[in-house]
Amino acid sequence: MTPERWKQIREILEPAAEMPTGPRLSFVKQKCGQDVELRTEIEGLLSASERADAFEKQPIAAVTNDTASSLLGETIGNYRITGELGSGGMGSVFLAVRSDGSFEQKVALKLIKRGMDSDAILKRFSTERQILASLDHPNIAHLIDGGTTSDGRPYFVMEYVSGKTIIDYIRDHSLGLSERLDLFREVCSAVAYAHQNLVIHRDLKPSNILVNTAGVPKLLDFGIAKLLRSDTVAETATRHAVFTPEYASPEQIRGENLTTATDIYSLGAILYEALTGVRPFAFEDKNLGQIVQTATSAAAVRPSDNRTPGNETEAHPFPLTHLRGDLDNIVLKALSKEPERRYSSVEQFAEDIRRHLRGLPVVARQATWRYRAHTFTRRNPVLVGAVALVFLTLIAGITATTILAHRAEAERQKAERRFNDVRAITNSLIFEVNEKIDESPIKARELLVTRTIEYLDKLASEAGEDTGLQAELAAAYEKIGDVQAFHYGSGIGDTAGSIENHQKALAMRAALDLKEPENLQHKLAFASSLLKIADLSTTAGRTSAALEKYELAVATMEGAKALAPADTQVKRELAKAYAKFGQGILRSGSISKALANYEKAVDLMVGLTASGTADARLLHSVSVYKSYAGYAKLEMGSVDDALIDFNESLQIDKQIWETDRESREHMRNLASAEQWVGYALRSSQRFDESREHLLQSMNLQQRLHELDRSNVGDMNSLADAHLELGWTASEAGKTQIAVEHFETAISLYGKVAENDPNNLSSRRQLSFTRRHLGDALAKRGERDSAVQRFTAALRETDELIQRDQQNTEFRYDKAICLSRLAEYGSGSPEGLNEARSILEGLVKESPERKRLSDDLLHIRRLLEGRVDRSTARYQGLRRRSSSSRTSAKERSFALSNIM
Amino acid sequence: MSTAITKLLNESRTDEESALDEVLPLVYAEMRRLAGAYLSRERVGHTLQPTALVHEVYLKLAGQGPVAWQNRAHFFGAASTLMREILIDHARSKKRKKRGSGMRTYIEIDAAIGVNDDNQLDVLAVDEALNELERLDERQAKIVEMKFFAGMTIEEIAEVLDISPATIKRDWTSAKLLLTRMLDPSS
Repeated sequence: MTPERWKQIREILEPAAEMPTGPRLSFVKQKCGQDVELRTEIEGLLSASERADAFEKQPIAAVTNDTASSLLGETIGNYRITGELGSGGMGSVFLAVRSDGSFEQKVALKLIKRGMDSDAILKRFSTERQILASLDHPNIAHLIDGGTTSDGRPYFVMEYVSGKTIIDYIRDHSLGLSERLDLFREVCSAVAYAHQNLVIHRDLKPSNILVNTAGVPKLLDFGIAKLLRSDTVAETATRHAVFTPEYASPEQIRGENLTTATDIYSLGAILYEALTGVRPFAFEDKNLGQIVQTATSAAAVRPSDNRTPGNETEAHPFPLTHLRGDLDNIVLKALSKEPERRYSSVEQFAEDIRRHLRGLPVVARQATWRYRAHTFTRRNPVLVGAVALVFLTLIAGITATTILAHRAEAERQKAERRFNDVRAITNSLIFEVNEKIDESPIKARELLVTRTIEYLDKLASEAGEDTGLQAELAAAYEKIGDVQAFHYGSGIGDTAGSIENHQKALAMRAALDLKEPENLQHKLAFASSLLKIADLSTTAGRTSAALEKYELAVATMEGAKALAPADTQVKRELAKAYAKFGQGILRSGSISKALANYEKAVDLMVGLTASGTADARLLHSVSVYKSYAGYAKLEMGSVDDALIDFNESLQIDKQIWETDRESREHMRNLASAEQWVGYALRSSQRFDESREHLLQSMNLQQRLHELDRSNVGDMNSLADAHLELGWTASEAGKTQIAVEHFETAISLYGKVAENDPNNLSSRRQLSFTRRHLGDALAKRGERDSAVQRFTAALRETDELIQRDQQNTEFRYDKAICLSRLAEYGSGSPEGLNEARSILEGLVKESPERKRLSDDLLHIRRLLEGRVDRSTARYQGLRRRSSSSRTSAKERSFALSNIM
Repeated sequence: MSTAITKLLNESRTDEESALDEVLPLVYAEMRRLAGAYLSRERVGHTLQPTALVHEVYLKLAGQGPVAWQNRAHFFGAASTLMREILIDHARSKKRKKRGSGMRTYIEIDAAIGVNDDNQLDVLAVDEALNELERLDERQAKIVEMKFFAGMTIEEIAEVLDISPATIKRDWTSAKLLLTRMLDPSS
């Protein structure tokens, strides 16, 4: 449009706008003549006149309130406004008096705010009116009247309660403990009544519970109450989340569907404040991320422990310690994060308080303990990098996206809503996590994992019969399980939580495999879940459960191989299953059976890699399986056979390393292979060759350590190399060299353990090396120094046993330390007896480990006094050379990359 | 309000244009400060009413003593432009916040009990349309600015621009029809 054209338009438009509709049209038509375009333009502009009134309003930045001053003295319906009581969610509440009657009745008049009269709010307002009209209870402020003002705004008139909020009342009257509880039970009776009438309050808070001068509590403001009968309430009424965060349940804060349990939570928060004077969580000065995090995952401090400053003044007529026990448990049960852990009804909640007042046992106690145990397991400390967090966040997003793709069009909307749920929470997680990550990656990770699981569970409940969707969900659960088990420099992961999620994946995958037995992918996925759960069960010490899973994984993968005999991936996974099954069998003591499985794994992999096109990863797994076999042979006493396997393994890793000498991964693998050869050579008394290989290993480890001094894993491996070298030197009679290596190893292990006190494996190596240093010193005749080392090693071993009583290595170490101390004159017969019973137990567990029985025999002889000291010392050292070290190696296997 | 502004305003009688140039940054700062004070109170019920704000600033200036500055037109003309800028900045930052973190907006809106700006015009869109109107008729644009952004009455605008109220009313009528069409071309 040009300014000229606009001028032309205005000349017709402006007079036309002043005219009534009838003459207006003919006026425009006449003025425009043949110019149809002009006429259309003007008619269009005129049609906008109704909406143009929006320009008469000011673009204000917030909503204007009705204030008492503006309405004071005005009459609404039969009521005259005399003051303002407060301003609530959707409207203001005025004090008013009935102006037509013969008596002056004070009432509270609730009027919807100007500018708030959207359909949703009007609906909510009328819902509130209906609800209030249906409730008749002495502790609920009742509805007197209602109507519409002259400008169309609805209002209603309620019983006016002159009083204080329940918290102010309690404080100002200095109520005693049982008086507080009685008052609270009255409140409960009102809420229970509302629940019986299918009404949830949803915004219970002290300011909605007034206590009148007669001491009667009255519930106000069913403003956001929702009828349980869904047909009577508009969806929109539930959309707008309106609540007070301090008293809102976690599910309410997350915007989920609400049940009566939300009121129970709010009541719990009010009871908390009524008893302690402070709220369970302080949300002032907190941003949304912090509020959501606290409300949904932080446990409230026990009421009796809440020593908030200024909280133990004269306002408290009883010491907080009186709350210890039942009341703590009752309040915390009501405040449980999970709705199903709270009281199942308000009546039950009130009943528990009554039982407490009468000295009867309460329901809360037992459940709270279970709850604590539950939260404790969830809070296992794990260090995780930011990568894992981002990764997890992505899972949720990607899964949701994939799910969308799987949906039939009819279900698309439902999925979209869920998708938005997940995305919203994912966004908020990034938001929350970024803030928390610096101070506490553990907490951040926990939060993320917990929340993602919740959302996956929700998605799973809607998965229906869609196999594609189920497969996706199973994959997501698997990834979560992986993240939970993931440990970064630490030996501890959330094993229990991880197993739980892998089990969810397993159940879905088992069903899928059953449904479509010809589907290769289902079999692979099922086996993968089985192996992961088995590995985790092993970590958790449930060896027999693990064995069943390993065996089932092998059977499943054999089934897969029958379907696709030539499939590379199937073969590789089958080999992995055999190797892992072998590991499991070995742990339960049967070495020969383990070896049979290792050999199957080796055969499969050799077949795969024979073509010469295999990648480094594939080749390396051949090397690893060969070392497994070699280790089993060594344990059975076939040193020469073992050496063949170890040497082949070394050749493979050397070949891989040649392709890229700078690859740290290759260097690590090669160093490990060299170490095995050196270890086996020492067992067959070939000390010089052993030392050569071990030096190769040490040089590689030294380089790795220099490349990255902060890498704890490499530091640990360098220490391992020194330990092995010291050991070989010690066996070869080169005591001085041995002592030097042992001391270097001790200093390195010490650093590792210092870095990460939860790394029990390094701590075990530390004590183990110390004992060997003791042996070397003893050999040199420095008996006192030796005893000193044995004593220290024993103390360290005891600490380890305290951390993990089931660990066979720790128990073995202890037995050997005790026997050494006995041999060198500082031990006691009791110590030697204890050593014997420990070894007897171990021999029972693994009868095939011949060296264990040798050690036992040696101790029995010591006990009988049949061995002279020097022989004992010599034989003891010789025997030691091949036995307990093996289990340390076994662990390094577990860590090596065969996945 | 500093005496500097009063002084400058008094001087503006003698050398209107240059004094106004100098005074505007100060008036602007004062208006921003006041607007910020209103808008930072996050509770519902604290509102920024442009009319009140512009008048408050003017009265503060006048309250400093005998204001000899006669040219109210200049003041109100400038003040309405400033008001427009302030509101637009506010709308922009609100929009940024919305984009920045979805959750925060959620609570801002919901904790504030669904402050519903659906009934309100999109200030940013109005601003754009107003730029277009400026091209077609500068005076009309100025009138809309004073009426819509500063909340001035037809009479006040007539006085300020020294044009008859009838003319202002006609200008305003067609301007608001055109703007409405621009904001919602479907109708």
